[in-house]
Amino acid sequence: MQKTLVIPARARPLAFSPQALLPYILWALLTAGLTELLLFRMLSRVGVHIPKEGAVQDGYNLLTGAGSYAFNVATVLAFAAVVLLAHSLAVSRARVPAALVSALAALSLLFAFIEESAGARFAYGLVSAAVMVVLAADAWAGGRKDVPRRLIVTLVVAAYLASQYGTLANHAYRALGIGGSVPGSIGTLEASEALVVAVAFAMFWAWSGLREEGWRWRPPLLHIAAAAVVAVVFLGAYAGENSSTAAILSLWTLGLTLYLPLPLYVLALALYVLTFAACIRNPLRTNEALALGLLPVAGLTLEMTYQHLLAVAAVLLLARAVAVEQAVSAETSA
Amino acid sequence: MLRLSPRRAAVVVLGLALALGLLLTQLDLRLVSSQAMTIVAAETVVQVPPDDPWSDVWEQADAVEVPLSAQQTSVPKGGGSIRAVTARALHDRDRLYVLMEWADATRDMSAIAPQDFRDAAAVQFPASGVTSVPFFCMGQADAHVNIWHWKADWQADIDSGFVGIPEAYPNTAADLYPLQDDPDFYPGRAAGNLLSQTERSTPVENLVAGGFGTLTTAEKQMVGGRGVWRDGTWRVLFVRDLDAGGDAYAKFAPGRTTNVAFAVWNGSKDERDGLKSVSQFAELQLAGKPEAPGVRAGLDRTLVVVIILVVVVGMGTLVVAARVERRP
Repeated sequence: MQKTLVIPARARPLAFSPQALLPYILWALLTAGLTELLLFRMLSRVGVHIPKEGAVQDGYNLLTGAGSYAFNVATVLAFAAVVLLAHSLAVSRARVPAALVSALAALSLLFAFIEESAGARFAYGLVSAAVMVVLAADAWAGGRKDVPRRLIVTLVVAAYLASQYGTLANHAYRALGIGGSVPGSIGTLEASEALVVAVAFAMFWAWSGLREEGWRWRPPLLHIAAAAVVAVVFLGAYAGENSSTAAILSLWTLGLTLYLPLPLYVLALALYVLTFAACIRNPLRTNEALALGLLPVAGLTLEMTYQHLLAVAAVLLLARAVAVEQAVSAETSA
Repeated sequence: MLRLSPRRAAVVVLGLALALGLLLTQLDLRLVSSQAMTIVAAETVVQVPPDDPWSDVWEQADAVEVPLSAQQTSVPKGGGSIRAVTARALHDRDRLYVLMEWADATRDMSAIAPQDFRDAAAVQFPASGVTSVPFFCMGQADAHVNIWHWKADWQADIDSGFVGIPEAYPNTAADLYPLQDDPDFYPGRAAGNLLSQTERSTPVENLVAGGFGTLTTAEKQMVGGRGVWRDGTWRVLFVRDLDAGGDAYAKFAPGRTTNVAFAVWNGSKDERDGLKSVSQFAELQLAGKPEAPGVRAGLDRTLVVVIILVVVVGMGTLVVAARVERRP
């Protein structure tokens, strides 16, 4: 990725297209998103255990302040990224996905400034779900017969649809004045969480290198160490007496209730980190690396418009693997 | 077509994003909107019976199924035997009524024996002076919560009279205690500890908290309610005036939105203290026009027109951009 983007220092001005901005914006969004996830959404919640005095308090305020700033930058970049991705879709004549994605971005911007009704929220949720479904269908209809990619996109979209079913039905019931509770909302929420675990395993199989190399697959020691550290930190935080960190990270930030056996989550997390590291290392897996980074920032339950935008960007990167790569090749050939 | 290095363009765009982020931070604005599940407390003109959670009046309230999970944040961790609670709410401009309903095959209304644990339920709101959503487990130091805790054994005390050792174990033999009716021998009761009382006016304890280990009985006990178990289902009703006074307590107003979280304890599964089923915060919106309309009120009427305009303009811009892009 880094090599393909190198531009000679004294190169004459190139023919600029909005798509050429996409890699920069996406990597910046991922950086800002992960920063706000750790310093804002997580640290401010873990902060209930931090002594509120002296240097510790100052450090806490500084870090959460930086996280809050990163959150605002990430929300701005999320709009920029989604608009650029929509533009990329429009250029490649994918008009329906382009229209839906731009409508979602427009609604997200509008809702940031007005107090929307239940009907408006339902409409927003429908547009978001429609984008997901169209992108999943697009992945199956595309020329690239990449079965693992199709399977993964389907699993990711199924997880989001299952997690959004209860919320969407709730908004619809309110908008239509229907009484009674939404049937099956708990079951679908649990199913979505199981799908998240399945997605981690599927991604590992498809993109870690295991599928290509089989029994000869040997991940770099650094990758194994990174996965092991994350898994041990997660397990340690979960099992320790002061156990809030893992629970907060999983529930507040990712939307997972951890109702399945804990070892499943630990294994899935370790494999996810291994896959992420393998994708970052492979220039041909830039889209996957970005998507794998953005998905945890978006989380599962999508309780903010910002999270909807991140989820759509991630699914778009997974479903249409050409987006960033096209942008890079266009830039280098210009 | 523009003649500009992509890297320079990226620097410009990222610089704009950083500056815009700074501006948003300075103005304390967020470029996001919540899309979380909302429980609407409909405004009712029918009188809501405060002692009948199975009243027909609840037919007019929207029901929302809220998922619960085991409490995994602070020791003792666990519970989670109740997977969901159905929540409803109503208000009559004077009082807020919150109804919780969940399936529980057993009716556990006693906690007098060491091996017995009662059924219980709780609703939690941000305290009225709070500016951000508190941590959902007991709040945090700078964002307190107000909790209403219904206890089945307190309900039994009200419904059937206080059950003490002699009533629970009628065949017990005890030594003679001189001055056993002297208040000095019951310091908890004399000190006003709610847990020690034998005569109760409400089965709901009003509590405040600002983090783990800070849960405290509130000074003012003004939350009413009643829990009734019927055919394997509990329904627990909480009732309180919209404005209880004081920043420590939740404050409600028609047309305003706050947050609400739920917790349920299943006594027959040994659930007590941190062993329980909890939800995250959902939104609670009190229907009706606010007494002092906000700047954003009234925009919903023109929302559809505005959305259509924005979408059309956005799509038009995209189409034009795409055509310019394809032009040789």
